[in-house]
Amino acid sequence: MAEPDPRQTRLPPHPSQWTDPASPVSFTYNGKQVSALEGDTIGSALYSSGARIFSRSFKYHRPRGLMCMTGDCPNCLMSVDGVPNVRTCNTPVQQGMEVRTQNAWPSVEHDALSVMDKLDRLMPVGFYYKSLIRPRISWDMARPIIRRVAGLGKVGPEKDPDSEHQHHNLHSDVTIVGGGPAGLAAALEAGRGGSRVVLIDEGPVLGGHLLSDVSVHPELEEHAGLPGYQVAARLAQQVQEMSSIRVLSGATAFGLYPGNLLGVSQGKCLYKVRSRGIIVATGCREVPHLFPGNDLPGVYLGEALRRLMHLYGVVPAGRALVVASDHRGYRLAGELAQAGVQVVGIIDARESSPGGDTADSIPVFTDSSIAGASGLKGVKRALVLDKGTGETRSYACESIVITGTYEPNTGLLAQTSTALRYDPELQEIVPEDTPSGIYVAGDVTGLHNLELSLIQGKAAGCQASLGVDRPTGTELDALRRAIREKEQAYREALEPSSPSMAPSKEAGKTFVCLCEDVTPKDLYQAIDEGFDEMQTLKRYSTLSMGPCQGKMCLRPAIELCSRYTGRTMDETGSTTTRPPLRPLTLGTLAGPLHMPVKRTALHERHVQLGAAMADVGPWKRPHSYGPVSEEIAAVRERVGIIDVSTLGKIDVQGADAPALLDKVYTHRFSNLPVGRIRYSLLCSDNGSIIDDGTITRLSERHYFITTTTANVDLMEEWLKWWNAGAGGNVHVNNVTSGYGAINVAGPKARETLSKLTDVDLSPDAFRYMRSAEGEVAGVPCLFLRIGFVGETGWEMHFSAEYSEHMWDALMDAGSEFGIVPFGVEAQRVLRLAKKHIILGQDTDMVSNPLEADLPWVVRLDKDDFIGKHALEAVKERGPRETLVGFVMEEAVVPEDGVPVMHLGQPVGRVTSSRADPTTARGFGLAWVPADLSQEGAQITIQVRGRPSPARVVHQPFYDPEGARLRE
Amino acid sequence: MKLTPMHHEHLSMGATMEERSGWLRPSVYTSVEDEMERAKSSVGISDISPAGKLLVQGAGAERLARKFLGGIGELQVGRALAGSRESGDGETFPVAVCPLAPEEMFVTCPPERRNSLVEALNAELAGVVNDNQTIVLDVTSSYAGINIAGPRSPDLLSKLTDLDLHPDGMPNLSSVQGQLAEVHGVLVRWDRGEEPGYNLYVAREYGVYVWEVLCDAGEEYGLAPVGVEAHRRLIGGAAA
Ligand code: FES
Repeated sequence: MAEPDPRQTRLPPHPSQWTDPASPVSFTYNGKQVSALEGDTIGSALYSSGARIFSRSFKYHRPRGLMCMTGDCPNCLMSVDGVPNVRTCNTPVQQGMEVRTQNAWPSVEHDALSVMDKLDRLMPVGFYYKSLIRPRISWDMARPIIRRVAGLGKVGPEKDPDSEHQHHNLHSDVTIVGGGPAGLAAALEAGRGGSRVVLIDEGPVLGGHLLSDVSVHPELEEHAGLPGYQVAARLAQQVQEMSSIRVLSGATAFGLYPGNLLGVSQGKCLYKVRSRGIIVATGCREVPHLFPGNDLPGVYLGEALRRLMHLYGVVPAGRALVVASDHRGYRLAGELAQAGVQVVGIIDARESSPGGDTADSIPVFTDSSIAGASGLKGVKRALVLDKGTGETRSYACESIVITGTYEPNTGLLAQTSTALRYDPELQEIVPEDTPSGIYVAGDVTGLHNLELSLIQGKAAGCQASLGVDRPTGTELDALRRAIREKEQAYREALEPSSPSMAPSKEAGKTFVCLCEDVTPKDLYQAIDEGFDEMQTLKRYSTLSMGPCQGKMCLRPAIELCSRYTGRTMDETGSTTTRPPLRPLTLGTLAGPLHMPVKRTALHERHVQLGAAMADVGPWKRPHSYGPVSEEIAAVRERVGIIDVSTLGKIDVQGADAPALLDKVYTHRFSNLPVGRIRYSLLCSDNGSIIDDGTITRLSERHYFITTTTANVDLMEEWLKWWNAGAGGNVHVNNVTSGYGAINVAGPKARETLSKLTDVDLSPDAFRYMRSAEGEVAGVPCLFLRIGFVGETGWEMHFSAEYSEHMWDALMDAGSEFGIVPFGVEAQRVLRLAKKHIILGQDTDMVSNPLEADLPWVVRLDKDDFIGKHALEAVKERGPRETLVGFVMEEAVVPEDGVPVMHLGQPVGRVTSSRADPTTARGFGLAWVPADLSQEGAQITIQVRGRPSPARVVHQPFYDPEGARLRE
Repeated sequence: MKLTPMHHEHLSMGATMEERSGWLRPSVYTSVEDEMERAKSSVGISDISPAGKLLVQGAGAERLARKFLGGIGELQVGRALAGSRESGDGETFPVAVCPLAPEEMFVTCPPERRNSLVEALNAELAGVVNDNQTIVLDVTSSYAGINIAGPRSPDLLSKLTDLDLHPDGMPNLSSVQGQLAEVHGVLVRWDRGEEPGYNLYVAREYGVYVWEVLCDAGEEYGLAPVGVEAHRRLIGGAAA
């Protein structure tokens, strides 16, 4: 197939065509060069090069070819530049594209797996559910084979080379889905008054089905004498000129979500479009007829040939048979004949032919229907049934063209609360009423008349923009009247067409669902087995569960089911339509990943020092800069600094601030002298701990609170909530972002800091748990003398923009004492040695302060505070379990979270545990039952699956008296 | 020296740094002409974190702002008002006020006026309002500020937020709080003549992240980081 098939020549150029004979491009198809024209789709180019088999079916590996050319069937899926399952019929060719067929071996033309077609007896409907179940191993054995044989394309393991997926948000007054005549008319009307309009269209060019319409429309006064494609061009031109309309071409609205949010994909972009009003003008599609061989390459839906012919200048070679039930089929037959196709005949189910539109030379078989197609790799013969005589006759032909059965594209509407009903007169399932803010126009209403579509579009555009820029609806009333009249005339002119023949149980292979190879026989059997309504029938038979998502099969299946069960179409029901309407790549949905990262102002310093950074919630924090033991030793023996900017910081000020803090914290703060710091807990009503932190009194009415890093937002809300409830005069502001904070700790901390500040840091002048304000290295600072890590130290808070300056000054000043920066891990070990708890690590959602061994923080003698009653109750009943310190008796270190055992049963758990650097024994904190909590109690801890003895310790492991802290 | 949250971003983008009123700022990345050209034809972003940012909060906030900025117009939530203030030395400087809530005014001023403005407001608070219910908080350090301006700026932002940025939804001189690239921010529309422009404020610790997200999202438009020099010329020396 390297060279174009010599029989296939393009039609002479015509203004309706998109292809440009002057601009050839080429691409590869299964590794071979194929030439195409600019304007071609991959499908049209392959077709013009002679390709007829485009894919092999999912289950039976039957050959399949272009069928709809509208992106609605599964037949043309190929892998394009490594992306599987691309619909080639509507994907424009690009120079150098790499196109490959899928699901066939060695090739689509000669697929060895087509043997499956003969094995259908082994795979009855629902065989997924009822065979290969016992013995269990059989499924494990069969699965890889089934995976290999069935299925669609493969996703390559490599990253998408240009995965530049983008997301955009759009807002509009009116959004119109569908750029056909109704959509264009709606856009023009809505945009006329200045409403913000977004028009979403799947094609590369606006115009919808008019683009492939070369007939003239004398009924349109405005466009009399113009062929359809020129009417489209005119309307499109007007739309482009209107600045209030934003057109998204080549874009698919795949989902309609609550709040009038449309999901739209366009190439690698995903648009989230929010609008006041949405006009659904999605048109309709043709549906296949059911007859044996209806899936053979060479069986086309009418629109496919119209597009091939009029947009790409390609026609099938050989003879064609056209199935028609109205003037459109006759017209298409005429157009084919004119393009040089030998039309064997027109099959019309009606008793007499209306004539008209056709060339006289084409024979018409009235009162007839198509009864079958045969051929190995494509249509060779067609069987035609004369309904009057009951005789069938066979005709040699290469193409069978199905026209006349339409199904409105109601997929988007079905995702809303729109009622969809079967209209027996139109014989279509149409939208009956739409929720407010959603409008319909055009072929999607089941009325297929150009003039009517234009008026409907205009009316919808008018209505949707009501209230935006149009005060009254008088114009609308006139339009509605016109619609009513025209609709009536349309319905009166409808000719009763007898329903298409329902295939008998015995008929050869007829396909209802092309994606999953489901035959009427399968459906009848499933119904016999009890799956007689659409929802269960779908699940059991896998009907409509393939790539086309029911676009080709749902309607025929409902009809079959309804006839077989003797129920009406509406009773038979339908399946649930969910987004996406058309397949999307996961990359499109994911878009660019936005994972917010919080960095302290010292981030670069840590990186420069070679710190291993750890994720602590959204924050990046240094885990350690080198060996943790060295960092610990430096803090114990010399001086260390740690970036604690991530601490939550809340500024609380106002006349009622003392009362507020007394209310929410377990400790008392109204009596805290100015310049002092107090540690406290904050509980919920049931007495469980929510947060802890230090509270510093800056002035009579002004406090500075630190919270745990993760809880600051909650604390801010909590404080504001209780303040609002009390109607207090308090300002609560989260100032976490504004302050950098560094903790300087160790025996040499005082000397280090003294080099940089005038503040008197001597033990008597600046005592433990006191605060002061002053300058360090020229920067105004708040000094808090606290000791999370158990050594003399100050936590300094200052405006964040000075962070690097501060860090550098401290490192400089401390260098003579051997200052070392330390990370989160060293801090964790140091605090554990002091038995300082970390909230969320050592406590959980139900821990209370009394059992967490922090009774000194709770002032039950206070008037009232949140959680007081619950804590009184705990006190009365006594603790059930207690958080205690433990030391291992052997040189082993339990992992965080391992159980504490008693008599072979788990009775508690270790929350934090680290190795003592000198003895190598583990120590840490654990929850144990109250009766095992006394000092010296022997407990057993499961260390790597082995019970190991440990002893309960009440005092801090390091500096139990706190002498070093207070030094 | 004071560093903005995005300091190291500027360094890694090759900016020449200069000191201005105590802050180290990127004066130019490529060339003043190039930055101006790209910002005018597409979109440019500038680090405006040094701008003074104050929060006037409480029952007397509106009264204070009105008194302080005289004839500034309706202090409606969602608006952004431009005013000016005379300094002690007789010069006037621009001030912007965004009412974020009925009792919360977000005030911005040029970096060098930050301290004097806090002082002046506090003095006025004690003298005029004196209700013990209103405070002035200097939140300059709490926010990273980024100016995003140019014809493509609404397109750029609409990739990151579902706020309606159309002039119908967000006209010039309006402000809104919302999510941008999954981060909370205050967005103030501040057009530069005919061209749309925005000031975005996010928590300082997100500064680097948001700057990088903007650069990535703006790549397709040819986004330019704009140094202090070009930024000054573009805004004609006005505003913070
Ligand atoms: S031919 Fe491409 S989807 Fe039907």
